[in-house]
Amino acid sequence: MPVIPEFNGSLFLEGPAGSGKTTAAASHLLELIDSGVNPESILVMVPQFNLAAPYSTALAALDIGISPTITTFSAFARQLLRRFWPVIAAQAAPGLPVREPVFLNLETAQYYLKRFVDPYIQGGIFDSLRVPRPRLIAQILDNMNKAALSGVTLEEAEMRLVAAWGNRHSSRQQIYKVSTQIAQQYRAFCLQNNLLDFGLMVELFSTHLLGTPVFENYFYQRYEYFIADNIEEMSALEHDFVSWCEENTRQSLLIYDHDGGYRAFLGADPANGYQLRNICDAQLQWDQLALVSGPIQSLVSEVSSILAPEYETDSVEVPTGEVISFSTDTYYPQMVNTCVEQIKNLVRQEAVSPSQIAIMMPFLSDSLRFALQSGLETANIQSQVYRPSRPLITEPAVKALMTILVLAHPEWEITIPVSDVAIALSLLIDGLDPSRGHLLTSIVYRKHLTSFDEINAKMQQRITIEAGERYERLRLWIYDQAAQNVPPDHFLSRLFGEVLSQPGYGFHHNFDAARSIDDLVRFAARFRQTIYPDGLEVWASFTRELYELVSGGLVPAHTFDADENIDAVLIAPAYTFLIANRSVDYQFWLDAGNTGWEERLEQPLTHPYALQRNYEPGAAWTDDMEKSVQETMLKNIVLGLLRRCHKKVFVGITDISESGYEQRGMLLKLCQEILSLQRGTEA
Amino acid sequence: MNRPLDPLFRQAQQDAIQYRSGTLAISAVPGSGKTFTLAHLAARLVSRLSKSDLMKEREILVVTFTNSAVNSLRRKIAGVLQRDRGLLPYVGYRVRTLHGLAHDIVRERPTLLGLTEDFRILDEPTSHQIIRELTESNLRQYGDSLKSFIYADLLQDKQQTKKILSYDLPELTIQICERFIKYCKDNMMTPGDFYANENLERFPLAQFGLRVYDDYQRSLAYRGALDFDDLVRLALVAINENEDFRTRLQKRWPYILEDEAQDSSALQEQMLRRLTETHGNWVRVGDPNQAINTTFTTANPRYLREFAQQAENQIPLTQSGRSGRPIADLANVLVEWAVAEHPIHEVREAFDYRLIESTLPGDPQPNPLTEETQVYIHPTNQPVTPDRELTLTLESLQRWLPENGDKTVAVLVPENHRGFKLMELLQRAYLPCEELLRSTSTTREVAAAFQATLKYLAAPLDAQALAAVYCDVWWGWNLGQIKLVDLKGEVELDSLIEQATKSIANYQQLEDFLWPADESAWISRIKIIADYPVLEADLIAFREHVRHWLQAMILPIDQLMLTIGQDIFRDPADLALSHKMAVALRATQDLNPEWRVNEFVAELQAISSNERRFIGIEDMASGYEPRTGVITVSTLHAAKGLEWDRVYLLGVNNYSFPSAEPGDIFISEKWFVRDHLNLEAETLAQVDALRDDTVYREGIATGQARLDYASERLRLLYVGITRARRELVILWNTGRYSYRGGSMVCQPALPLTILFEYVGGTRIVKRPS
Repeated sequence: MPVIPEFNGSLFLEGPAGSGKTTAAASHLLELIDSGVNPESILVMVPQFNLAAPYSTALAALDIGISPTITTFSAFARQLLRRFWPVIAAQAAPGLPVREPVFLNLETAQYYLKRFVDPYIQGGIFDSLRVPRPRLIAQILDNMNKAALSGVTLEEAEMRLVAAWGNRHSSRQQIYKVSTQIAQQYRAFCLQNNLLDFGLMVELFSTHLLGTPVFENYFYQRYEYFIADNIEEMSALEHDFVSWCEENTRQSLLIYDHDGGYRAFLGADPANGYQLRNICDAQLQWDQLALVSGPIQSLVSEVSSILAPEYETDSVEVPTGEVISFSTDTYYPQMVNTCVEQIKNLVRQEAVSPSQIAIMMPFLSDSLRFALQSGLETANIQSQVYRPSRPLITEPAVKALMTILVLAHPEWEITIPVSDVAIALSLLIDGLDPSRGHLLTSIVYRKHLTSFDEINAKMQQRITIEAGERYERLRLWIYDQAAQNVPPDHFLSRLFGEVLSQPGYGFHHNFDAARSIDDLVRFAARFRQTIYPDGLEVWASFTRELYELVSGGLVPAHTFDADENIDAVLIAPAYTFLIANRSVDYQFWLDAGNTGWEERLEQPLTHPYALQRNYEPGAAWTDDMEKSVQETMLKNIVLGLLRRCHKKVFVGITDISESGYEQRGMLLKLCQEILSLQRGTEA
Repeated sequence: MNRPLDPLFRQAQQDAIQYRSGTLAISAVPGSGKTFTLAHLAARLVSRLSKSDLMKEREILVVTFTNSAVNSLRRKIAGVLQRDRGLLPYVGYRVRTLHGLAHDIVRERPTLLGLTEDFRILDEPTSHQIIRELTESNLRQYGDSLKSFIYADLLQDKQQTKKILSYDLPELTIQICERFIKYCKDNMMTPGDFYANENLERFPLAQFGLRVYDDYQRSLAYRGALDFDDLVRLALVAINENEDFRTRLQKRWPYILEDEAQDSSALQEQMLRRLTETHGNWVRVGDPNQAINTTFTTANPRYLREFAQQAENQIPLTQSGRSGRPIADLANVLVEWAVAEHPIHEVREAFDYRLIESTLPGDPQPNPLTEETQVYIHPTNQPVTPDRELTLTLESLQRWLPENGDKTVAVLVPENHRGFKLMELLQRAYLPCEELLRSTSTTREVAAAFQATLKYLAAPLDAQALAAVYCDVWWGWNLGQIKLVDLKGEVELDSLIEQATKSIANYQQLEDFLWPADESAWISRIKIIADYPVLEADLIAFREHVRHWLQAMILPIDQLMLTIGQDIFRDPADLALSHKMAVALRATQDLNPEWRVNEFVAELQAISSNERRFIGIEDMASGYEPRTGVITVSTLHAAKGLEWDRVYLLGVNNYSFPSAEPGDIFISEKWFVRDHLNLEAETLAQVDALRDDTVYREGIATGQARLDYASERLRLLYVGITRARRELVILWNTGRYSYRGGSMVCQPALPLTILFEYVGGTRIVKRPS
């Protein structure tokens, strides 16, 4: 493993993923501490928390009482804003309450923003986009955050988006305008109510705290050493801060991954980050891949020679046919089967541990996830999905509980279809099969649930007395608790604990359900504490807000970092895998013909590049620009994946896509070229 | 072209495959391996391009005539790439029909054409329906203008008048309007082009067509939709008017290969000429003698001939290994006779004088042996009725098939309805057979299966709905567990299923069937189980599935459908379709979170009744491949490009194959239209007169249409003959066609009498000079 040489001042370390930079930086951190540097005077900054794992792991082995600050920019900003709030409130916006602000997370920000978006959705302004509501809201918020991260105003962001769209005739200009209006209304509301979302928070930090004497004093006294890793995944505003730290610490180490920038859709600006190279006192470049096998290295060279001819690569000597295989099926479901079969072989025949296998694709639809997981389950192979932003409401248990919330509150006057109630009751009550659940519901459910005892005896027999009694207990519990005016998280948590997890009910021994409900309850509690930290007299209307948020798909299932300790096949979109910065022995690239490998996700309301700091304001985003971005994306993603693969890549190709079209993605053509090189076919 | 000969190819084929650049015309006789050659050429070019710059996104573009040809060509190219060259099978090229290509072009840049990005394309049934409605409403208002074309004496008879005005005339007018609209679009004429024309008043047919055309275009605009012919027109506009875009496409397709070029329309010719104008790399493969799609279209084998004259290279593929010598001779005789001796001089131009040559010894694709080849023509002096013709065919197949299970066989008919009749007979006689007559829609079938299942799941206590699932899904998709042997001939399976379906439909308290408290009770309530115990296991298996689906109801719609789909469908294409529908409905659910199963049932209903266009997978299904031991029943048109060991040609009489002689009846000349006018032809002639400002004389177009039709039918007969490898049987019938109250007995087609005489040795065909 390469080692960072001693240096004074600042060092810019660059190289491809897998060249050992982070490992070396973690050792460097330990050496600093070993050499007597006070751990508290070290600041380590990463673009997102999971990227800090190598540092925390290294420190854990050291077993010291005090530790360096390992953080992200936003967490750091939030912490300091809290600390210095009175100062800022006084000078930033006179009139701001001196009381500490409420920091909004993504969901609570969406919750407030939704109020301002809904009237426009109902007015039909967004009809031409055909984008589901949660995504509309997310994109408007995204624009605000990206603008903040690039340091441009909302108005300029709008101007850039309009200009980027160009002269094409469309309703788009109007939509950008309306989105800006919504953003402004929301911002004003936040300021009025002492709420800080991500965008506002980083903006306040950069404009009103950074550079103030009080902040500088604090920083100088505290920090002397600075490490910033993965700066290619940071935004321009974060780069500003990195640059400030470089200038204001005794020693700083800046680490840059080649061919990265996977968080571009979150505001990452790798080109801007690379400029930090120039401010450093010394530069160092590592090119050797430390962990991957010889043939994979050859494959990387082969691919580089095709995708990035500007790189000098070693001539390919080791044959690469063994480390990449291609399977072609006609249809999408066949590809899933092929993949499952290949994994079965690896696990059964070659005793590969499932945790050393990752299945990746450009997008992971629910349908594909379901198909893959069912296939692996049938083969008795564990799998785990790493995919942020799946709505919690798609979990059956959560859906059933939302139905119960509505039933507990007939005063909301929400009518839910009989089928929803029947499905929920069948799920929640053991022994109530779907047909009897339907029968029962059709009798007891009007606006609220009536008693089983009032049903005639014949019907009771049909439903079965046992199921009926369980129903009755559940029903009484619901109305009893509803009358007690408790916060919804308490209601839900007790419902689970006192009834549903008990024998005779559906979640007794149902661990999946328990996990989903845990997610839901935690969210509800956090949500309550954020919105009403001081409590409320009556919880019903808040409960309704929670219901609408969850059932509207605005609440994501718990975004966990895939647990490397579980021996399960990882299923994740390629970008998510890359951002998580993991590596495995075997990779499956599914749906290789999909243009999603190079094309960015269609986000009509926002634009990751037009909102980057160095984008030329007023410029239209042309086809050539898009093409060039696509080439870069493909290069980065393919090289990034290969450098995180130790043994072999299986490429799954279908002739016809999930939606039934011929596949034309650039990755396919790349595969063709690799094959062509390998086979030395006729020139 | 000095490479050593690859043992796979003959010399001319290898020459074609070694093509490097420029224009090349390959004229090919039937069975000379033109598609085989083209596939190898395409694969060679793909493999060359695969070593070039990835980012240039260059592809080989292959254009052919029909969807089935697209599929079979694609499969062939894929096979060569994967098997012979070790490359990915489907990368680096695209095979398209003209419409498919136009769709790609328009979809790439809809905004260039002022279209929204989500523009819709109407499928043919929908556009046909719109034209039908608009024609009918225009007829109510302006129908009188067409009455002058009806025989005056027929209009004296009240009953006749009623029939003509309420049925015959509307049907004909709809056809005319469809032709009119298509013709105008193929000629890039918009309704606006006509209105300024002061002569319009003088042309009642064109005027009527124009009204419907105008209404139709407005109706499309209102729907934000295009039809297939608009696509082609607009694609041409896009590439003509946008230099950047054109340049990009020209670069993307550095080589264009065209199969079945004899069927190319004027627009296809224009489009491909435009796309190749910078590099000139255009290979056209075709056989003018097999041009069978020229009537009322702008297609004309003339284009291919002219191209060949000017091409930098020409390679004729004249050797054919397909048919045994006697069959190839018969096809050659037809050409020789037509060119030299056809009684109607104009029809002598139906064929290029080009004969099919046998392969040389040692050929990689040799002809079947002459002694194994047979031709039988039903005597032209022994008339048989249409029914008898079918029975003769059936009897012949019953004799032949048991001893020839390793061979392929087809019965080719001139029209669909004859094929349906024959299918019925074959099925009744338990002969294995399949049809190439209508396009069945797997999309609709898959959607219908989902629809029935979800409809039940939305109402789990609805016994009728469950019975429908049992009958249409469980047995409709062959999931049933009863084998024919189990029935020991005691009952027909269909009847048993029907009885079981009834029992389910009448079941009271369905929960006792699905989740019985007492296992024995539910059985006793389905009484026929007592008579047929095999039913019990079947119903239990069925119930297991239904339970599984009911429990999956809590899942989001896509996962519910995937769960159901995995249980119902076996065929990969069906599974793929069900996956696609699941994804599409999930997207709909995300946009309409309040939707429940009932709404999805309605959505599936729209898909299954074709209101909602759902293109994709089934368009891509593989082309038809004849199977040994199974009789193919097909129209002559659909048989193009295919071959069988034994072929029956039916109905070769002077109605289906007229020769433009006096006394021939033409399908386009309707019995109630005066003076034997072909109103479709007359209408288009009026359009020409308006466009070119030339003189229009009634009847000229009708006469020309006869000549064109007679020529095309001759070529169709030629196509039919050349489908056979070893055995050819040709039959004719007296098919009675009522005509103005009387009835007409058909004669053997003139060319058939010639061929019959030739086979009998009583005729020597003159070589054309």
